[in-house]
Amino acid sequence: MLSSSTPPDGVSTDGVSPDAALRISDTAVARAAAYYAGRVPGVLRLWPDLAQTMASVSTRRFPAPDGEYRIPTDGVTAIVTDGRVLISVALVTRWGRNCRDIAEDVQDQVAEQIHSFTGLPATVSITIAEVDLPATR
Amino acid sequence: MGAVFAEPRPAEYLPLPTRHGRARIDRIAAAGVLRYAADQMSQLHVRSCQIEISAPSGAPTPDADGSRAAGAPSARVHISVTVRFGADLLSATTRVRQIILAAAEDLLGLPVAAVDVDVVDVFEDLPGAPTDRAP
Repeated sequence: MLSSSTPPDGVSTDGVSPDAALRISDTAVARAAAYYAGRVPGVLRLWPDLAQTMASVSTRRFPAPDGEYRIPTDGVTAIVTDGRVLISVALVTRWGRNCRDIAEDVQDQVAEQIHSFTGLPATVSITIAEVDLPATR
Repeated sequence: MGAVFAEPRPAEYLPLPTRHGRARIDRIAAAGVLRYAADQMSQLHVRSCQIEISAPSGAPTPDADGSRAAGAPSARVHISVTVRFGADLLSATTRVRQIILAAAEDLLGLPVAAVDVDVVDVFEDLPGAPTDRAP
């Protein structure tokens, strides 16, 4: 067994080897997805909901005692279930780029990277919460 | 500061027809994009812009692998404007329709079926005020 404890929010992935199990938590997947989603051209930033904003403030105020930097999961939720990953990404785009194309790019990039990271197929839902407009007159 | 901007209001979304998975855009954000595009015209000022989604037509549109727009809902845009006094009203409203349709496709990727334009008022510029926007 690669991991003897079951994460509270994760499931094991089958097929690693007959006598080994790999468990990936939702949080780990969400951090990876946030990392890749934020790097897609046209994505200005990710858009946290109220709970994520509060958690982010708390994390900044009280950093991890082990000194690790943890990629924020702002705007991203992930659920690992039944051998697949469901990811939801909320983001802000910049004026002048096609929102549908950006959404497709994020879906492609994140699904591909999460698949190579976890070995699990990923379905990515996108919410464009805001479009950053140039300064108005 | 981020907490200040995280609004608890219930958001409404418009579906974006993508090839994989589900995608959507905040209705107010999408209307802001169209409003900003139309507001570049010097002949008019936009007062309000709203987008409604009509029921899915069910008729697939020819695109890529065919999955993108199968049964995709189409949007209807309502825009109210004030027009510069003396401007050609038909020309200005036709132009704003073209701009809305182009912006919806190019900037949002959202198919728009119709654009309703309400001219709610006229305006005149103050003497000496610069007009540096597109006609």
